[in-house]
Amino acid sequence: MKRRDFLKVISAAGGAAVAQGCSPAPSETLIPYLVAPDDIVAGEAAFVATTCRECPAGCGVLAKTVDARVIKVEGNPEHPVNRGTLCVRGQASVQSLYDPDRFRGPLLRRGDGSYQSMSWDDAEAALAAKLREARARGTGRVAWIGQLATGSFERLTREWLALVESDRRLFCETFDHEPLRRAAAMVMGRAEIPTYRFDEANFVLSFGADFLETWMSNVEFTRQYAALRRRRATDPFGCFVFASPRLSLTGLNADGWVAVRAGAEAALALSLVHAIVADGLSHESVRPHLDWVRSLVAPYAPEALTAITDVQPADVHALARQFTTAGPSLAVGGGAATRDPHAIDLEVAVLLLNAVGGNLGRTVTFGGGSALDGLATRDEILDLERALAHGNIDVLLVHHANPAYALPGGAFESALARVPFVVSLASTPDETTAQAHLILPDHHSLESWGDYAPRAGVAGMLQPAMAPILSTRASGDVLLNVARRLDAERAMALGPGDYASYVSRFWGALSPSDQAWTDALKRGGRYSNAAPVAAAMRDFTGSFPAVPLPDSRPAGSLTLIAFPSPFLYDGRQANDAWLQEIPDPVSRTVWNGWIEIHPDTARRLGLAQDDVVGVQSASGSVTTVVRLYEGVRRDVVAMPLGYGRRAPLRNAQARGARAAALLPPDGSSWRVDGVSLVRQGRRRLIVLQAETEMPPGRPPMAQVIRPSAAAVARERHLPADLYPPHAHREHRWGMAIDLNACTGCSACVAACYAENNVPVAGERACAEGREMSWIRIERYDAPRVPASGVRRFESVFLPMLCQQCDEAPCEPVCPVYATYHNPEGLNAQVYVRCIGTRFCSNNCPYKVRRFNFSRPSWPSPLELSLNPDVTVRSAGVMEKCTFCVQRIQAGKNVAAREQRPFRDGDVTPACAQTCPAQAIVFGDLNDPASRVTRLSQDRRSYHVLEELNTRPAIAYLKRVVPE
Amino acid sequence: MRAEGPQQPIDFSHRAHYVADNLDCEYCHSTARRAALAGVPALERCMGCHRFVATAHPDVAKLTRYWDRRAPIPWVQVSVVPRFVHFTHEAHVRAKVACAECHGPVEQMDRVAAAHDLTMGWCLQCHRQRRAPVDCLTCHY
Repeated sequence: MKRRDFLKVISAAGGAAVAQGCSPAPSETLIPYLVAPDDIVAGEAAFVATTCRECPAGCGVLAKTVDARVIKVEGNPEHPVNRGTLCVRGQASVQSLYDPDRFRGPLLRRGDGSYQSMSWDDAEAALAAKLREARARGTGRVAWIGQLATGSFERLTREWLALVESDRRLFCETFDHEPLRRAAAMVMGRAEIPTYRFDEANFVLSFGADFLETWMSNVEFTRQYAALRRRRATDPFGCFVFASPRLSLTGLNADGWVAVRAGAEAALALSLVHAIVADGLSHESVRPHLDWVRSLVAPYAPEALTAITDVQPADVHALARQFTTAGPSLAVGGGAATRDPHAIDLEVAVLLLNAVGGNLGRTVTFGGGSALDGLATRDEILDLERALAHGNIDVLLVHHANPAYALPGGAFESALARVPFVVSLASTPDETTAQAHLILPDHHSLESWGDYAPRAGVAGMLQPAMAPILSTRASGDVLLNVARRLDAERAMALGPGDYASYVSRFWGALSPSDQAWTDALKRGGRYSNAAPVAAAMRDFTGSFPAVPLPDSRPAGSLTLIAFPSPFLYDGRQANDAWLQEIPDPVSRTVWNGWIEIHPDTARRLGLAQDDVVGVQSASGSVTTVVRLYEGVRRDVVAMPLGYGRRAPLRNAQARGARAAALLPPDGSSWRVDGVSLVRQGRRRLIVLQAETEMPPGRPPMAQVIRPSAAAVARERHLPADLYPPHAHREHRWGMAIDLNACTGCSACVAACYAENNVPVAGERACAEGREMSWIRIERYDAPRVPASGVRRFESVFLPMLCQQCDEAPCEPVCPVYATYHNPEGLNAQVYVRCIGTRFCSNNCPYKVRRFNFSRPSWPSPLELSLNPDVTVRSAGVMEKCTFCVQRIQAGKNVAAREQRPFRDGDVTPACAQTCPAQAIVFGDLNDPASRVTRLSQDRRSYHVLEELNTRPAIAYLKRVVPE
Repeated sequence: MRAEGPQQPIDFSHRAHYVADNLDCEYCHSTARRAALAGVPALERCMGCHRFVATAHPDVAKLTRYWDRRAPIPWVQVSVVPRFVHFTHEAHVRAKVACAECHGPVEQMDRVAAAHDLTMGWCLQCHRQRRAPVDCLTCHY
């Protein structure tokens, strides 16, 4: 008897009527175009090239639009910075477009603190009136503080401010690089940020720069770093050492950790220079400067500084050898040390390191024209703060900046309260808009015209990917309109028309023809090679203190380090539900902030995992939850930035604590000494997939391989099989994931959420283990080999998704055949057949099947971001990774349309497409020439839980760890 | 022939247009051979002729009023498959399935009615006959 008849009989016997089939689906209304656009087909995706503005890296993106709305953001393959890939924050940016908490239109703050909507006409008239008053009172009474702008908007703000008789304009970023610029001025005579080439180096030494997460340009650096790792896979000593008091995600990827005392990074770097020079390891190119370098670093012998740096001289000498013998190498500063009393010392020392390593002109070059050179200095920000506090500014405009929250301490916030008229051009409420008198919400970057050039040779453009969904207005248009109201005659110098025409005129001056403008728009900008300039090191009389000692601290005192969150950055994306729900790669925490404490320190203080603690510093106090972490020094505790938001943001409000409140209010440091912790209670932190030590005796999930073994082919013994193999006549889809390249950044997770309409489970569901992500990053720490100072964590990041097993345990147990093995090797999940027994998830050894325990919902207007090519699942249905089957079907369709055979690269799932390290490769295992086939046969390849004989279609390549 | 189809905002008659001009289906439903949706023509396509043709006809007057108001016509869908089915016209046109096989003799209809219930069993019949894919993931994903 067939299964279906059996069920029919059972239900008939139970007295229930047997349905003949589904009742007809409800019919819908078909809305045609009035005038059909030439190049857009209804229901098919159109890609609009623009630029991501979530951070100053300025990656080029292609906004995927269907039926005039953006549904996903992908990297632009032509953009030199990201080359078609995109980080987790870029992938999540589509959520900020449809953020339900966005301002819906202009708002005026009434005397009692409530807000009143007004029309754009009235709002601009109100601003013009205030500006007229301010201008009448003198010069410099109007100030602008905003996100970094280049190109047309930079010029417009400058010209506009001149019109209101002011030049007070600050481009302000939470993570600036001022010490680096000052150091470059001292050492190279060029006050600019260098260009780094991680891929040209053979060895990287980072003093805390999290270049795989938030530092400068993480997508580009991740790609370069992955190339370096691939090239140096057989290097017995590894290719990356991280010197910092705390292991960030970037640090967990390193082959070695030098746990230098907080504040002593400069001393360590100088002692390294000393060791290199003393041991005769310096590069010949630095010979002309060797004498004065030697005298400069004379006081910093490793042996003399051990007590300060807490690094053994033997390790310093070994590191010096490693740094110079594997030339060219690359040293970068950064991390907590970028805001530090010794920050400039560190950056000078790092430049000297690069000099003696022979890296200048090879992996460190100048003349790159980084946009970050335009950032305001700390002194300029303090100046503005003082001017605001003294009432010298009548009108302050704030554009996509949140200094009231992001700047340490509370000085800016109190200064803001003294300003008579604060205008915010922000899109969503934040701690600074709370003090604004007038809110003129800007379009989202995906709705905007504009341009952004992260560096010379990369002039990226922005064009609207969809019409504005709310009554917002481009800030450029606001400035032009207000200027014309204020002073029509002088405003004529700004030109006619709206901001879009201002932008095209700005570009017209650069590219003379209309065709050039259209071509640039299609490519997302104009790209050219900017050759580095020759820059020579100067002999300078260093103004180092005798020894850059960290402040003397009593024994047992704790130093707090505030670090950038790899997902929330400085808090700007805290309202993004995906970024709250995807587990932080280091702490595995979701939906909350935390404080990292070493287990030994916690024991000493009488604290345990999940304890609520009050953290007190000289500048303030906050309350947060303990997360034990061995990746901090025993005298260091660490908190992520970006939590403790106070603004009315549904996903960010009152989550975690604002670490910046503990820092010195002059913004001089990301660390503060002498913090105390007091236990206040208990609260369970929701932690997903907590890191696991690989259990002894069993083959581990994430496997590592020594470089010597990586060169040797290994034998594979597959257990015998009861069943005949599946015939995959045409295609057999498979994947290869290189654990040596995966950095744990979780961009693939966000891309999957976007592509496959994966619902956000929420905090409560996550606590019950009901998160819905189809792909997750698991972190495994190999047993640590204690070495004297250069410890190895040997963390491996394993992206775990449905393995599309050939012998899937989930298939035979489904009572209704909702999951089965399809002829192309996919493990199919048919949502409409699923009745929710969850037997399949029970049987899955990888636990990659996610069940919809409740009906997923998307608060309006987030449902606009849903991908129409993927069914939206309802409650009671099992779902899992499908290898982006909608893309597979589309890819096969394109090949059929073009009447040609399917080619390798025709189909790229969302995860593989976005990975900045290109760690995930997808293709046809039946094609002997495809990349995935070659990688599956690599010596390093293995299958996870191979011994269970599930025969997965995903081959993982073992991570290489040094001897 | 099944019962009459749903009332549409304008009594557009396929028969009248076919008899008059022998228009091919794809003249209006132009994306059937290159996309998943066959598409309903933009108002501009109708006005291309009806700016001058039969302007006195009451339904053409209705059409013109929609055009003047810049309002698209809210047609009622007749050939319905549920949202969890990803049907693509392109593959079927490529396989030389005639429009009338699924939609019936539309060129003879004054008011479009569904010629067949578009149930999965009915689709599978033809798929089995023509040896088209019957794998679930072809349409359900």
